[in-house]
This record gives sequence, C-alpha cells and structure tokens, in this order.
Amino acid sequence: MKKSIIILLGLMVFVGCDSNYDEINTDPNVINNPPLEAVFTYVEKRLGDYKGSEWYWDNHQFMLWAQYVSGDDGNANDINNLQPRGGKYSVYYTDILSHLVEIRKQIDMLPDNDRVYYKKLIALTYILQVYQGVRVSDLYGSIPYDEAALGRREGKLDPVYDTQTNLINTWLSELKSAISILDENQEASIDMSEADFIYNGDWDKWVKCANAIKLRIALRLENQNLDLTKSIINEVVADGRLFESMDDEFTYHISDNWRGTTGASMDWKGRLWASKPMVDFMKKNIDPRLRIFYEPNGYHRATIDAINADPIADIPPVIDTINDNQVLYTTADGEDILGYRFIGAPVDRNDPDKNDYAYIENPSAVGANATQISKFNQRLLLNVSKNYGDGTGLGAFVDVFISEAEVDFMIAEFILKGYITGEDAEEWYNNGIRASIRTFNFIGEKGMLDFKISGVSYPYLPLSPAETDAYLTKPDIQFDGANDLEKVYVQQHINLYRTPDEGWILSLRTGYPKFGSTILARGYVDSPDLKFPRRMPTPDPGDLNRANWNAANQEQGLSELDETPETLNSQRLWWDLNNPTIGEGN
Amino acid sequence: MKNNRLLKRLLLMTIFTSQLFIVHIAFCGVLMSSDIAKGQNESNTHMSLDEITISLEKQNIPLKEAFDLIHNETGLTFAYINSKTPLNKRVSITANNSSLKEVLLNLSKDANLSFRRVNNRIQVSKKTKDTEHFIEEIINFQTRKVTGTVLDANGQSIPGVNVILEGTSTGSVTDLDGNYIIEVPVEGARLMFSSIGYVNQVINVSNNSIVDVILQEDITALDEIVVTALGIKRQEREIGYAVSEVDGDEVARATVTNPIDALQGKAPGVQINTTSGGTFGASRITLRGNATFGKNTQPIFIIDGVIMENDIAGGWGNQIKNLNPDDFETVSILKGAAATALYGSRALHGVVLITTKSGKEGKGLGVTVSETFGVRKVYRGPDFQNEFGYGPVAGMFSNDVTNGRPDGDKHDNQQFAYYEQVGGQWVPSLQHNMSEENAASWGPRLLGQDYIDYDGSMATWDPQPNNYVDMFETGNINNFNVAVDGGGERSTFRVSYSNFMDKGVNPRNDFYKNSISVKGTNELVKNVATVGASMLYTNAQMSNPPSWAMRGEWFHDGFPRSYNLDKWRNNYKDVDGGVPYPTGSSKYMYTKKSATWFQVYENWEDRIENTLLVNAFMDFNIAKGLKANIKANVNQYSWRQENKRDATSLDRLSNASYYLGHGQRFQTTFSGHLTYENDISDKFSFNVLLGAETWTTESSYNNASTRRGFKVRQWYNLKNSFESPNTYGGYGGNKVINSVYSYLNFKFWNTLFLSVTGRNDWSSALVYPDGTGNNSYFYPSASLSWVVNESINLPESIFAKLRLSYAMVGNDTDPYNLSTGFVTQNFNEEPTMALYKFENSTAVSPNLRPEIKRSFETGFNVRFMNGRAGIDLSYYLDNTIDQIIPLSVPSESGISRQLINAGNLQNQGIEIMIDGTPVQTTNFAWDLGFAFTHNRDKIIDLYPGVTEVILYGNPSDAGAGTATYAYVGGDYGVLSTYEGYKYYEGTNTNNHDLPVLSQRNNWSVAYMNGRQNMDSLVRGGNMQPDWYGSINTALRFKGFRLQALFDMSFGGDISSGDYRYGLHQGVLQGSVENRDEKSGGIVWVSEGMGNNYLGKEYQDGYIPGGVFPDGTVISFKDRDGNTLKQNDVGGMSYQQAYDNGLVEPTHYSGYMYRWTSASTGTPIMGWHESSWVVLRELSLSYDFPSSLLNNTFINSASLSLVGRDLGFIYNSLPDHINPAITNNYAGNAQQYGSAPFIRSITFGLKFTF
Repeated sequence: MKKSIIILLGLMVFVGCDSNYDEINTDPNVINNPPLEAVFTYVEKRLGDYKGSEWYWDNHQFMLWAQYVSGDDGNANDINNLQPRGGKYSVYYTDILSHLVEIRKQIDMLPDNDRVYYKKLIALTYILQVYQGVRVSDLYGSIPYDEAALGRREGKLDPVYDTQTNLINTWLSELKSAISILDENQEASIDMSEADFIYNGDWDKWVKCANAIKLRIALRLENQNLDLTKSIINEVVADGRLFESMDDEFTYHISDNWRGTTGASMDWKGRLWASKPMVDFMKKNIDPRLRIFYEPNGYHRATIDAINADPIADIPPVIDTINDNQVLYTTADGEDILGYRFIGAPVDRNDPDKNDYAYIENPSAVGANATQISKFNQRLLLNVSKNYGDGTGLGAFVDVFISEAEVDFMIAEFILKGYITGEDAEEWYNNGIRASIRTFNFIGEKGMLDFKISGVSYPYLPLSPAETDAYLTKPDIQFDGANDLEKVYVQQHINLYRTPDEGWILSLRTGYPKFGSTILARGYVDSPDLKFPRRMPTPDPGDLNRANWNAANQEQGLSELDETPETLNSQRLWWDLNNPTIGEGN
Repeated sequence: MKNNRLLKRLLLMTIFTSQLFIVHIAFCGVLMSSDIAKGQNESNTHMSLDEITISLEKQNIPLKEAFDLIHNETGLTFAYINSKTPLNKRVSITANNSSLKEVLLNLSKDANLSFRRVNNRIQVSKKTKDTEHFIEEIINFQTRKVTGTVLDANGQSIPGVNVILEGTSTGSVTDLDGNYIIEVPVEGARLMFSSIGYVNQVINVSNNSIVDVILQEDITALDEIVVTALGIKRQEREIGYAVSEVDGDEVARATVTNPIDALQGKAPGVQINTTSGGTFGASRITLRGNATFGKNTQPIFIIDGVIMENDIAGGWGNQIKNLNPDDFETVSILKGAAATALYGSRALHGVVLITTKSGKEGKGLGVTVSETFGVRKVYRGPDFQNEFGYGPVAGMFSNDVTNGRPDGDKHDNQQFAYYEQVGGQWVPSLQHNMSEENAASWGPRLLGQDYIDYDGSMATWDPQPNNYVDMFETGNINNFNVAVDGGGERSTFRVSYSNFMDKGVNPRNDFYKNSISVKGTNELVKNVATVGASMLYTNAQMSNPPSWAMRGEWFHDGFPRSYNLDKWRNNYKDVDGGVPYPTGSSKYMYTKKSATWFQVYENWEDRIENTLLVNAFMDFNIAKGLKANIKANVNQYSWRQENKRDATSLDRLSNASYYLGHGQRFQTTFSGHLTYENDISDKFSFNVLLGAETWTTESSYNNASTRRGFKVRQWYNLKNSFESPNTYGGYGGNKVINSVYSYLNFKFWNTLFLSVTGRNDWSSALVYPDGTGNNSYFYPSASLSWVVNESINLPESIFAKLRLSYAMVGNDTDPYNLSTGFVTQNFNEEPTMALYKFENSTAVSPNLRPEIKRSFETGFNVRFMNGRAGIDLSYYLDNTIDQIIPLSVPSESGISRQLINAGNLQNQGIEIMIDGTPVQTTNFAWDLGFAFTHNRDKIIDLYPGVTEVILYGNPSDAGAGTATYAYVGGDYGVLSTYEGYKYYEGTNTNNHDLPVLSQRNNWSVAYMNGRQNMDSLVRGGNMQPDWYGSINTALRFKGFRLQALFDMSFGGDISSGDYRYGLHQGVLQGSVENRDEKSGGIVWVSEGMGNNYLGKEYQDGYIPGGVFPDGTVISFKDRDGNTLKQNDVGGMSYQQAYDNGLVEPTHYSGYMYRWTSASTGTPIMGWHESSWVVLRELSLSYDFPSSLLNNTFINSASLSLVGRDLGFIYNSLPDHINPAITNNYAGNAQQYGSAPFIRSITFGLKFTF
C-alpha cells in the first residue's frame, strides 16, 4: 500500500519535469542544415519542373495569341479571355526566392572564411532570381522583390511592391555584382560542378548567362529609357562574353530520364492545331523546324489510295495534292514528305474557307477519317512521353531557357538599330538561324521525337546543316536591305516558339509579326480584331498585404478586379507603355 | 433514451457482495431517524395514538424540532426521508393533554404530511392527492416469515433490492436470483421494495407468505448512474452538465461497420454526416459544432480508458471501425468542456466514452450468444431521365459528311452523332469514337431504334432505367458473437468473440472483422486490493473502397442513359484479357467504360488492420475513504496495405503498378490517482481525487511501389518493378503529454452538488527543437447541480434539476509542427541527385501558446407525471481562443502559411430533449421522444488585419469549385467561390442585377459564365444546419417492442457536384426539358445565327435568363459564311432580344452544358439547401418471457428485426441527390461521388444460458 503511494507520488513528480520534450518533438524526418549547394540544385530543378501548369494555362494562351497554334474549328471569340495563371508567379516566391534567400541567410550565419568559400554560390543565386524575376515582372509589372521572401526568417508578411524602374536598377546592380564576384580569383571556393546541372559550376558560362539576361532587360527598356538600354548593351558588348555555342546556352537538361512535366494536354479547352501563318511561312521557305514544331497529317500514300478507292469519300479541298506538293523533306525510309502533309488551321474565325477544314483528330486512322490538319507537337512542348500517335517516349526533355539564337538575334537587332556599331548584323542573324535550328535539332534528338501517324512510324529525322544552308538562301530569309529588321523579328519569333511567353512579349515590344506582311504575317482573329491582354493582374495577396497591393496598382494605373481583355489590353505596364499595337509593326 | 439497467445491476452486485445490508443509506437518499427510543416511555408502544396524550405549547418551530419534542415526550420515533420531508417548515403545536393522534392530524394539515405508525415508529411521508391526513396504526408484535422474488418488467431477477418492513428498521436484501426472506408482523405488514433506478413499491403482505414483486424502472429520480470523465460513475443528479448516454446494445443492434453511424439521431448535440466512402468509410461526427478552424473537429473515443484517435480518413476509414459494439455496455457522449475538462488536450472536441461489459462477481457462468444477419441493398439512385440516350450536346457534333450526317447537322441533336452504311442504308452507330468519355445523354429520344453498338453488334435504342442501381450488388451482413462471463466470490471475467462480415454493395468492397476481448478482475486481498485487466484484439480485413472519382464516373461521367450495363459489364476485356482502352483490337477499341469495369473487377486494393487494446489496473483501499488506483494501457494499431493495378497500356506492362505499405501507431498511458471520500454529515460530504498521467504516442510507416511498370505481366510483387522500386517511410509523429489533475466534489443535503476540477498538461508538441516553448497549460472547471424539487415545495410528481457549469480545456498541436527543416526531394529520374528543399511552405511563429476553449453551459431537466414525461434543455456558449492555425499569408513573403495563435470561434447552441410515455398500461406502452439541436458557430475574431479563413477546399478550383470560409463577424462554413457569374452593370439600368450572358458563337449558345468574375469571391449559403434532431418512438406490448427512429436536419447548404455534372451530362431528370418539341423546346427555323444553318429547323430552343453585355453584336450568316446581318443586342435580356426578333433561341443542351461545365460553368448552380428526414431505424424485437423459458437451460432469448436507413421521407436536394459528403474533413460541404441510397435489413437472435 505504501508502495502504491510512493509510485503515485513518484509519477506526479516525474510528470512535471520531463526533460527530453525537445528531442521527442524534433522531427526526425527533416534536417536543419542541408548542403547549400543541394538547395541550389533544388531551385535549378524547380525552374524547369514547375512549368506543367504554365503550359496548361499561361502558355496555352500565349501560343494562341502569338499564333503559333490555332483553335479547334477556328479560333473562338473568347480566346482572349484570361485563364487562371499557372505557377510562374507563386512558385517564384514560395519555391525559388524563398530557397535562394535561405541559402544566403545560412551563408550569412557562417564564420568569415566559410562565407568567402560560398561567395560564388551567392552570385549564382542572384542570377537565377533575376532571370525568373524578369519573366514574372514582364507580365505582372510591379512585384515585391526587395522585401519579398523574408517571411520565414524575418516574419515579413507585407512586402512592398517594387516598381519596374526600381526592379531594373536592382537587377542590373545584382547582375553586375554577380559578374564581378564570379570573376574574382579565389583559391578556396565552393565547387559547383556536381550540384549545378546547368553549367556544372563553370563561372564563365554563368557570366555569359548573366549578360544574356542583361540583354533581355535592355530590350524591355528600349521604349522607356533608350540611354539605359544602350549603356547596358555597351556594357555587355564590352564584356564580350556572349553565348557562342550550344554549351553556353542556358539549358535545362536535368537528366536523360526526365520526360518533361506531366499533366493534362494543352488541348483541354478544345483541340489546338498548327496555325496557318506559321505553317505557310515554314512550308514556303522549307524551314526544317517545321517537322519538329508540328506533325504531318495522315495523308500519306495509303490514305490517299484508300480514299480514291472509296466510292463516297473524296480528298478534302484543303489537301491540295496538285499544287501543294513541293518536297519538304525526305524521311530516312525515303518517303518524300510533300507540302500537303502540313496543313495549318486558319486563325481568322471568320475565314471564308473555314468550312473546308475538317478538324478531325484520328492519329491511327487511314483513309477518310485520317487527321487532316497538323497537330502541334505535344512532345516537343510538354512531355516527350506524351502518348500521342504512339511514340516511344523514351527521350529526354530539354528546356532551353535562353538560347544562343535569341542572343544572336538581339545583337543583330541592336546593330540594325545602331545601338552597336562595327558589327555585321547579317552575320549575327545568319548565325542565329543556324544556332536556332541546331538547338531545336538537339532538343529533337534528345527527346527522340519519333511518332506514328496513320499507321506509319517516323523515327526522328535530324534537321541537317544542308537544309539550313538552303533555308538561308530563301528570299524571305535572306537580308535584302529593305525588311532586314522584320526578318530578324520573324526569326526571333520562330526561335521563341518553345518559350511562347517570350514570343508574345516580342509581339508586344515590336508589333511583329505584322498584319499583312509578305514575310510572316499575323492574322486577324476576328473583325474587328480581338483585344488581347498585354499583362496579367497580380493576385490579391489577402488581407495582410492588400494595402501595398492597392498602392502598387494605383501607382501603375491598373484596375484590380477587372480581367476583361479590353482592360488588360488598354491598361499597360510601365515597360510596355510606349510599345506599338500588336501586329502593327513599329 | 438512457437505459442503464445492466450497469445498475452490476453496481448493485458489488454492493450485494459487500454485504452492506442497509445500502439505501448510501444510495437512495438518507433515511433518517432520531435516536433510538428511550426507555422512559416504553409503555407508549402498547398504546394506540388515541390513548397517548401529550402537553406541548410551541409556536413557529421547525418541523424537525416538533418531531424531536414529541419523541422526547412519547418515546415514539419518527422516520422520514429528509429530502422529501420539509423539516425546516415552521409549524405550531398547541396540546394540552391532547391525544397524539390529534396533534399529528394538525401537523399533517400544516405541513402536508401523512403519518403511519407501526409499533414504536411513526413513518412520515408527504401527503399525496390520494391520501388523507391519515394516520394509520399497526401495533403487533408477533412476526412470521415472508419470502418472495423481485423481478423487473422483463422478468429478470433483480439482486440487491432492499426490502424494508415499512415503519421499521427491519430490512432484507434480495440475493442474486432476486429472492428474499423477511420477518414481518403477523398482521398489517407492508413491505417497501426499493432499488436504485426502480420505482419504490409498497405491498400489503396480507396473509401471503410469498410476495413476488415486479419493480418498474424509475425514470424520475435521476439516481441513474452515468459514466463521466475518467470512467467515474456518478449519479445523474450530481452532474452539472449535460451527458447523453446510449445503451451499448442499441449501438450493436444497428449492425453497422462504423459504430459512429449507429449514434445517428441518438442524442442531441451530436451531428453526424455520412460520406460517400463505401462500406467502411468514415463518417463525420461533431459534438456541439466546430471548436476550431482545423481539419479535424471530431471527438476522440475512449474505450475503458484507452484513447482512440478519430482521424480524418478517406475510403479506408479510421481505427474506430475496429471496435466491437457487442462489447459495449454504455456509450457516454461528453459534449461540453465541463464534461471533458479532466481529459485534457485531446478532448477539446468532446469525448465519446465507451465502457465495455464485464463479468459479474459471484454469479457463476453465463453464456450469451447472438447472431445477426441481413442484407444491404441499393434501393434507388438520383432521379435519372430515361427519355434521351447518348449523344453530345448541340454544337459538338462533327460536321463531317463522311460520318453519314448531312451538312448542317452540327447543332441537331435529334439525330445520332454518327451513321454507318450497312447494305446501302445509313444506320446509327456508336462505333466511332475511341474516347472513354462519352457519358453525355444529350442524344436522340429513346424510341427503340436499331443502331450499331460499340462492338459492331446490333442493338435497339432503349432506355436503361436501372443501369445505375444495377451496378451495385446486394450486400450481406453477418455478425456472430459469443460471450462467456461470470465470477466467483472475489473475481470476475468476461470473454467475448465476434465475427463480423459486411459485403458491401460496391463490388468487392468487403469488410471482415474478428475480435476477441477478455476482461477480468480479481480481489487480491479482500477489501484491500483488486487487480483487473482487459484486452481487445481485432483483426480487420477490407478491400476495394470505391473511389469517389470512380463513382462519379458511374453516375454522370461514366456512361449515358442508353448504356446497356449487363452487356458491357460482362464484356469489358480485350482478346488478350487486358483493357481495350485506349486502342485495343478493332472489335473492342470503341467499347465504353471498359477501363472502369477493369478497375472494378480486376484491380485489387486491400488492407489488413490489427488493433490491440490492453488495459490493466490495481485498486487499493488504503484507509477508510482513501483509495488508490494505478492504471496502464496500450493501444497498438498496425496496418498493411496492398494495391494491385493492372496495366491499361497496350504493352500491358508499362503502367501496371503494385504498392505495399506498412504502418503502425503505438500509444501508451500510465496513470495513477488517489481518492478520498468523506461523508462528514448528512448535510455535507465531499470526495477528492488527485491524479497524474503520462501519455505517449508514436507512429511510423514505410511503403514501396513499383516504378515504370512491370517486367512480367500481372505478377504483383515489388521484385517485378521495371526500375528499382520507389520507397518511402518515416516517423508519423511522436508525442508525450504528461498531466496532473484533480477534482473535488461537494455534496450538500444530497440536493446541491458542486464539482471543481483542474488539470495541467505538459505537451511535447509545444516544445521547439531548441527546448523552449510554452508547453504547460492549466485549465479548471466548475459545475453545479441543484435538485430543485427536493429543496423547494413542488408537486410531488415533478422532478426538477438545474445545472450550471463553466470550464476551460487546453489543447496543443500536432507533433513536429514546431520542428521545421529541410527534406530531400526524391527525383526518381536521377536518384543520385541531391536535392534539399523546405519541408513545406509553412513557417512557425516563435511564441506559440496552447489553444484554450472556454465553455459555459446551463440547463435543466424536469420530469412530470411521476416520470412519464420530461424535458431536458441545455444552452451552451463555447469560445475557443488562441487557436493554433496555419494562417494563409501573402505568398510574396516566401511562405504560404504561418502557424500562429489566433481566433475566437464561438459555438452557441440549444439542445432540447423531450420524452414521454403517452400511453401506459400493464401490458402496453407507447413511448415518444424528440431531440432538437440548434448550433451556430460564429467567428468573433481572427488575426489582426485578417477577416477570413478558408476552412476547406479551393475557391478557384474549377472542378469542385466551392470552398467554405469563416468570416470575422460571420458564420463558420460559408460556401464561397471565385467562379460565380457576373451581374450586369452596363448602360441599360433596367436590366441591372441580372446575370451577364456569355455567347459561344461556334456552339450557338448563350449561358451564364462562371469564369467571368474570377477576381471576386461570391459567398453563398452556409453549411451549418439551422437545426437537427430526431424523433424516437416505440410501442411495447408484453415482450414485443416496435421502435422507429427518424433523424432529420434542416437548413444547411451543400455544394452538389453530382447535381452540377449530372445536368452537364444530361443524365438527371432536371435536364430533360426543352430538348425537343415534345419536351417543351421552342421550334424554329434558323436565320443563320452563329453557327446554325440557315433554313434548318431546330427543336431545342430555350431562352436563357440573362443579359447580353454592352456591345454584343449577333451575326447571322449564310452557309458560305457571308454575313447576312448583325444585330446589336447589348444591354438587352435574351428574352427582350428574342421578342424583338434580334436573336434565335439558344440550344438548350449547350446552355445546360456550358452553365454547368468545369471550364465555363459555376458551382453556384450546385448550391442547395440540404434538409432531410430519414427513417433511420425501424425495429421489431421480442423478448421471450421467462415463464416460457423456465424449464429450459435458456435464461433469456430475444429476436429482433432491424431496418436501417430505410428511406428519405424528405430530401430537399434536387433530383433526389444523396446528401452524403465526400469525406469527414471539418468544413467540407462538398457533395460528390454519387453515393447510392442503401438500406439494410437484419435479423438478430440473442440467447443467454
């Protein structure tokens, strides 16, 4: 009995003073001091693998608006309605900036020597966050930046929105400082060759990347602060480190086993087809990229034979076997792919010939039910294992964030505009075209973009230098002194096919492709033409930061809750204020 | 209704074996008597009252004093029950050598008493209507023996009944078989039989030597014993808060897999939402509303002191389903904080306290065998339309002439979508589209037309009215239980085995459970030390919970109203045994839903769960009134889950998968307490408890699954993984809570009870990894109960009790919430790549405090007509403050949520329970009871600057599209969406506040567009019902009992996904109008509006209610696309534009489709009030009378026929949608997954030997 009392009292004493609570409540599944370079790897990975939702929502729209693709049964009159946004904005803060800020915070807490050791990693964090920040601000305008992503460490829940002028100044100084740190000669520096799957810790390539980002910034300033544009360009040209080969490109090639972002097809709101303007231009000039951007229809020999043998079926009018029959390329099996194998869908919803097009999607049918219009190549854009037309899907998905060709075309543009002197625009331009085709070929080969249509398998057919050479001689391509700048824009437009947000920004910035152009024309979608959004509204941050959000919108003159295309078209962001009308050229 | 007969008997048994003969002193109010008669007036005992004279002159003295004076004068003793005798009432005596009889008659008038004298004792009782101011006298000193048996109304013997010779202290107690022997005077003896929970009965012995008595249950006295926190049994009269108790047998009788479902409609304040989770899916139970903003606001379950978590769970349910209701003695529902304050942290949302059955001391061996079997059946689905078959909506047809449809049929859904040529004839054909998604029923009328089916066979176009209901199978339920119990002089035991089977109505959705429980006690040292232990082991095997996604397919996204279920359910495999979808051999490449049937009949998911509850205790009597108790218990829960999924890919390998996972949770409690009880006087007594407890939980899991398909077809094993398997695992959260607690109960005059409790918890979950943290929290409670009718003068037939309580309960948070860090991210494509990221995007505030719930409750219980009718009312006001919530913060801060203390959530409500027995005769009775609950959760405060919090769902989610919010100053559970449509605000002010129409030209439809207004949150109804309740009624005739339970809820809103998508696909009755001329559609000949064909006649015209936005121009074109005219209709309603000849009607199917779709529709059209009345239970039972069983070895036998969930008497949802919600998350108001209406009928037999 006494024992029981002792036990009881003992228990009561024991109860109040348990000392290992912290141990019990420390989550064994997490660690607190991860290898910082592996956190950086995560951010690099995130820059590419979040894009599933971006393709599904944002890019789905940019592809239509920039007329890389066209809608089912003609474009609908609501294709200018803004859809929900993919992850670009939110991922930037919660996944990208938050981790980059954390890397720097953790380095800050290290002893001096160790901080020096990690210095170049800090430089890389800035390059990544500026690269993505530009992409976000292009569409959203003023965004939190200086005070952003400090919620975890500092409890900052109401970051102010920085204006685009502030952002650009901050970014330029961050890039400048990053370049100078990367140029420093340090004996004991972190080795990023393993963790950095983009450049394998090659500091020089990171400088080239930073320079390419600076050029993107310079472009956006052109109609607001030309002096600054010129000074940025001159700084970059003076530095001279530009993308010169495929190895230099800002390329996301994380693994030979990565097939791209999974997710629903872009066809969620009705099917999408190759657009007529693109297909017609590429067919006319036998652009080898045609066969990687789009897929041929099912009108090979067997289909035509089957229709001819069918008493009631007829070759549809859009398949013009008589006139549209130049050889686009010859497959490895020796099959000549003729012009009518690639058909683009009209972008004009009132196209008088629209009813001639049968929007049939039937990748396995042979005969009258075969696919007539070219599909966009889903495996090039979304996921190499996308099950369409029965490809093997074993290739690697490679995302080129900034290509050499993009830089080349920018330089050519600057030369033509006189911002750079002493350089030959045509040389940069031609090199850009070569680089673009070469890079797309690399993507195609890595992705093993084979497919099967109407029972015939087509292994990936490389885009050959000979084809490129022939392409460069076409009048629409070659410089002629009259429309050179437009040609640069057109080539940049084609080159940006796989980064359609950049492609759309080209249209906003330059007004090209241009309505009625004899080279590559933009088409009217409706009459009068639809008003396309030139920006996306920043999301309502909620009660805790609504005041700053209101202020930023007010400062930019933007209405907050209005998503009508007309408003998003007329109320422009700062960088876009003086830009031409879409399709009107300069 | 409470029914504690068994418990009471158990308690009495203990009393009996303790050989306490005058037990009523302790238990039924104190029978008081003045001192033993003194010798000086010995002679008075032989004189009659007329003969005894006294002289007394006293004015205005308390009655008690008057009795004492008379006693001193005469030596006669007064006997009375102090709680019923107004001892403080002032009386006057004026006696000058008056007879005692005269004096007593006067007293009787003054104080409303009646007297009865037996020998030297005068028994005092309150006068009733029937009694005169009467004094009866018996003076007789010869005695004789009387024997008899005491039985209850069911013929069961009652042990431990006090048998008192009225007017004397002579008494006896019945033995285990209810037998008694007593010495009584030869003449005029009257025996009073009393026992806790039974109405006292007084019998004139007359000349009988055998007096058998049947005692009726007492429902007036509130002397019933209820089980309260920590398993402490208290008389109901002592309790200052509402407790609802459900008899264990009533739970078992329901024969449901999840015991929670059996509580539906049984008690006020208990709200149960069923889910569409199948046989063993969890239901949502909340007590008195939602105390927090968290996902789980459900009470915990405590079984004989072992805590069982009531987790949020999907189709597999949670651990509760492993309990065995056959073992339940009682289920107490502790709702308010005062009831649960002793349980600490985990009891913030209330406690469902289960006490299991025990063996009975000294009773010998008893065997109970019961068997229940029955069927479950889907008796209906929603209201389907059976007039139109498969077909896409107008505007969605192919325009292609090669499919046999003439040009211009694009919008004509009076025709088939596709035709094939057979022998020169065009025949409708379904053999054309490989997409699996062909559920829409917007096609032609079902008129028995011939058509070519998916596989090329010929079929007729007939309605298939039962193709939903027939999908389900008849379920089987079987429950067998055998229990052996007994006990010797110093020990008891009970062993029980149950085998439960529930084959669900969904194919292969089965549940099997075997449970064994053992319980025993032994008195180690007589009157000093007792040990006891109990163990429950359950093995449950379950398979194939229906995923609600799949049921969605069955109902609306699966197949059309013309789908021939029997044909395709039995014909879903391709020639190689695999799934035809997406492109199988030509014969099967067009068959629909083959992948679904394959999933239903070929793939396999199963799970085995083991639950082991072990409980052991020792009780010590240390000194008089001082006791100690030490307890230990363990709850071990483990599971193994296996999923086998065959490939749907053509190679039959690359997307096959196999999953094998294991997990376990291990929880222990060690506790001890000291109690001290002191009956200082009749006026005042108290008891006190001091206790301490340590509770730990730990869990871990690991699982592995194949990667990138299989190497060999259909070999379900990790070794068959194409690449090295994915593996996962880790700790699920370890926690320790140490506590000390105490209560102090005071009792005044057995009518006023005050109970004070206090508890302090130290939780590990509130300690940061650096060892700091605000993890100690104390919370007190106080409750008061006052038995009014024993304190003030109320009519005798009324019992009234008032109760009042105030309490706090503290709470911690989930383990590891305060411990954040980085995790590695597995990157399967490159397994060696090192990747570290934040564990999640929630940051933790550095100074988290415990949550506190403050709870005020008051109420009363009044019973009339000697207990035949009563009302019990409670009012409560709870405020939960400092809630630990993951506050959504601007994502620009780099985090999505911050874990903070915030909020003040108030639950306020009224619970009323009325019951009565309108008719009662010897053999027949009619009982009727109502329960009513009104609860409102309201948000008083959130966080500085924050006005709203999302409770559940995502308001931007296009699919489900409805979230529930809590707003400061508003209600909990407001339906909200960003997908609401816009209202017109344009130039035509007459049409303001009508919805804006969107025009989809290529479809030629106008509709309200749910995606037009995506930056403004639309708030709709509220998910909280205005009230809910139940009606319970029973007819009793001899051994028969016919009982019905109706269960109802009124006024809560839900978001019905099934209604939305059922209209979208044209399968519901609500979509049947306006489809053709016969069904009310406008017939018109097109003038070429939109993509309609000039000159073609259409029959499905409809005029939507809405306004065209300003600037809308409607174009009319000829067949070549040349514009004929353009009409400006901006600002006009569709009706106005139509009346002015500016527009043609819109196609009804397109309108319905767009308005309800995920991409353009709005969830608002699915928001409906969900009010319902269900006949939850109808049962007929029969107890064989003991007279019939007298000569058999059977002690008792009963039969029962129980129908559960028999039907909805009222259902406010359109088209009879089943209101079952998708899961048991708090705040979930989403209805989806097309739960069928299932009823069950079971037959049960029960014998005891």
